[in-house]
Amino acid sequence: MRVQRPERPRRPVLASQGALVASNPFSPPATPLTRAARLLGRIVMFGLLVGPASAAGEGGRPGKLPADLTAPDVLTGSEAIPAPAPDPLRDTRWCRLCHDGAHLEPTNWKKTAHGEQVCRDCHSGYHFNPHLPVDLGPEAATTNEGATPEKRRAAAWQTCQPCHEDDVPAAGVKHGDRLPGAEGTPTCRDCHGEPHEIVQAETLSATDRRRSMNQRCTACHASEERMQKGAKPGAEVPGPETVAAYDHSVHGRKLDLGSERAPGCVDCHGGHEHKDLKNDGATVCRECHSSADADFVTLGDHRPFTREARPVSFFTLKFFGWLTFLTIFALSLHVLLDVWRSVRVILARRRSETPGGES
Amino acid sequence: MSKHAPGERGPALDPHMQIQRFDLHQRLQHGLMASSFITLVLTGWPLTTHGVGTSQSLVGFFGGMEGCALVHRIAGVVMLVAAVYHLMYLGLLARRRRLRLTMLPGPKDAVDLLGNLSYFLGKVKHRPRFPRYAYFEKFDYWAVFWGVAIMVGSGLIRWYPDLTTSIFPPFVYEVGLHAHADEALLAALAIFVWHFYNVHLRPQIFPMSWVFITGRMSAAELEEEHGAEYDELVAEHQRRQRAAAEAGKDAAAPKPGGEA
Ligand code: HEC
Ligand code: HEC
Ligand code: HEC
Ligand code: HEC
Ligand code: HEC
Ligand code: HEC
Ligand code: HEC
Repeated sequence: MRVQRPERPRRPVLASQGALVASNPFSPPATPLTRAARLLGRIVMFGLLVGPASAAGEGGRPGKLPADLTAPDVLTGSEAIPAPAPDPLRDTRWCRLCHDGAHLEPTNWKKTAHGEQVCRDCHSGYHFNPHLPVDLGPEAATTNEGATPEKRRAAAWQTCQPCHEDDVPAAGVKHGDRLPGAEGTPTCRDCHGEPHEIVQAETLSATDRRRSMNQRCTACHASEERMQKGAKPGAEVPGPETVAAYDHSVHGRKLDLGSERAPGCVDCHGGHEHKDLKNDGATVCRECHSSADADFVTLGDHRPFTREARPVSFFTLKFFGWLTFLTIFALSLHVLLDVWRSVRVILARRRSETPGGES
Repeated sequence: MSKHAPGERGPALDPHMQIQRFDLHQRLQHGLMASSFITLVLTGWPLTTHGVGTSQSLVGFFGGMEGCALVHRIAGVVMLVAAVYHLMYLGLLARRRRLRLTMLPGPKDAVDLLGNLSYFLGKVKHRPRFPRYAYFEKFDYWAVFWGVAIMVGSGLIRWYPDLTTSIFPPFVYEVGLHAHADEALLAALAIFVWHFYNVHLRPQIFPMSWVFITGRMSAAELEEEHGAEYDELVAEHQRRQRAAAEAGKDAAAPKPGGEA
């Protein structure tokens, strides 16, 4: 079972090194030996891809790339490449020729939610490398050309839209009113993690699903800095104390201990949909607490146990704190005195039992 | 040692004679209380220290968080049963007019406390001659009495938080929440530091006093631990012997009752 990892270097993992990507700022330093090995691998790989296809092309099968594709002349030196059959644009081997990484391996890729999707379903603007600076249009994914963070965020949002039209955060709720891509507000990636590693919710246990989603929410909500960044101009944002209160609550503790029933952020706040906890929280709680009413909901909001926010809790804690301290202090003192005296009695008896005669 | 030489205070009982201190009911109540208490501590503790690795393994031992919560509830009910059992037992003794109020605190306890402290500090040579229940045992008893009342009450509040808020204002739950966690800490510390010291670790009785299992104690131990009660027994013994001598019969060994 794979748990979605929240943080991963966001850089492309490039298999090939040689002249092609020599200028690539992301390439790790390579020794001549690894370079040679990679070059060899690339040639073999290229042979695998192109060989059978060109053979098929000679056999009269339709094997030409669409006319708008230009061959990566760095690889072949020729103008056009005979296409790998049957549909080159759906052959992920093509992209993996240069982009590899554990998560892009077919066996791993199949296990993700997008196992049936191919690279170009999302990266519609990418054909070859160096990826041509084409006009990618609004539905394009990320581009390395002139991509500002804002453009990238908005593009990433749009990448997912065509297929998940009904699955985007609703407008006017939580973060939704500022989408897509307002500075500091969550993108699909912030909540669903690395786009290549998204797994279907059902493949995770209830506990893992809640834990991993909680991690994503708290990555922002526990960070004063990130929350400030996403604040609406002039508006207050809920601070890290909401997360602290949740972690401290029975719900948070039980989830931490592996409960299968204790709710994570999403059970109460929803994912994309709006849950009106302020006015109708009881409905949410009633999913698990059958006779919840409006009063009950106040137990689940994230007010801390301070004198201002929850005076009753504050004074109860104070009372028991002192009671415990004083009682245990007195009892321990009693025990220690008892020990002290007992030891002295035992020593005295030893001394009287071994009178000077023995020496 | 603080021990009195036999015969120091009048004709002693045979030091090996076994004296029944607790009847079966009392031992059962203690057993139910002790086993449920330890289970409750083990299954409740992880929630307090949820970040610690041992909490995770403890929870695993009880079959996950849900199993742990279930065992905790069962143990809680057992404790409630033990408490009700005890109260009914007291009620029954009272109806039979055999309830001795030896557990109620009195002025002698304050005197004994001072006496014991003086003994600890080496000011006097002997421990006070404690009555049937010494002041520290009375403390234990009433601490448990208060503790069980709080823990059962707040435990039920936390078991049914939604019912609680539909009957009472929400702060009642808040009180229950903290009372349950904090009183548990207090009770656990009191039991493991104080009670375990007094009945297990104290050098005079290490590894433990067996009275909670057998209900019996030898006369010698009794004199050591509960001098005042011992004296009463001796007085009773002598009275009976005299009565028996008058009646021309052998005295039966005294068999003091074991009621609270
Ligand atoms: C011949 C090798 C090669 C092939 C084949 C290739 N790429 Fe690339 N790709 C690169 C290189 C090199 C870069 C980095 C270019 C740069 O940063 O200027 C890159 C960049 C990218 C980026 C952008 C990364 C970023 O941080 O902006 C994406 C997305 C991408 N490729 C997707 C694809 C897809 C999808 C395919 C298959 C259709 C593919 N690539 C085929 C070599 C290749
Ligand atoms: C579900 C849609 C989707 C699919 C399918 C997909 N990608 Fe991506 N990929 C993305 C998104 C979204 C990003 C941009 C992430 C960002 O920068 O926020 C991305 C980024 C990249 C990058 C840039 C490096 C990075 O990690 O930021 C490369 C390279 C890449 N993808 C290659 C591939 C290849 C090769 C395939 C096919 C095996 C593929 N992608 C399939 C959505 C997808
Ligand atoms: C080419 C269409 C396509 C694109 C583009 C696409 N997805 Fe998907 N996505 C799918 C399909 C198909 C599934 C599987 C749905 C199912 O089985 O219910 C899926 C599943 C998912 C799931 C898991 C749903 C679940 O059941 O738990 C998530 C989350 C998801 N996609 C997020 C994204 C994100 C984020 C992006 C943009 C980076 C994206 N998708 C882009 C087609 C797409
Ligand atoms: C990229 C950072 C980020 C992530 C990830 C994130 N949030 Fe937020 N969230 C914010 C910011 C910033 C605000 C305040 C601004 C606003 O209301 O738009 C906010 C506001 C909220 C609010 C309060 C809305 C209101 O009406 O007061 C809720 C509830 C919330 N988020 C829940 C969640 C949940 C649940 C998740 C995880 C599924 C999550 N957030 C993930 C940044 C994030
Ligand atoms: C048991 C249900 C529950 C869970 C679980 C939960 N919350 Fe809440 N949350 C509430 C309630 C109830 C409120 C108060 C709603 C109101 O009155 O506006 C609230 C309020 C909030 C707010 C708005 C606070 C404000 O001051 O406006 C944020 C942000 C928030 N929650 C984030 C989170 C995050 C992040 C998590 C997960 C770590 C989480 N919540 C888990 C029930 C829950
Ligand atoms: C605020 C965080 C957040 C953002 C932003 C977000 N999602 Fe989600 N999404 C969720 C949560 C939470 C779920 C429910 C997952 C669960 O139950 O574990 C979800 C569920 C989904 C699902 C599965 C829906 C289903 O019916 O099973 C898809 C697909 C999805 N999201 C796609 C997207 C796409 C595409 C975007 C960007 C346009 C996006 N999400 C943005 C939090 C978010
Ligand atoms: C997904 C199910 C779920 C939802 C939704 C939910 N809870 Fe809970 N809640 C639980 C579970 C499980 C427990 C643990 C109690 C147990 O072990 O029986 C719990 C425990 C509690 C407790 C603590 C009881 C104790 O042990 O002291 C409170 C208070 C509580 N919930 C309040 C709320 C409030 C308020 C809401 C709505 C805002 C809410 N819950 C929503 C599942 C849920």
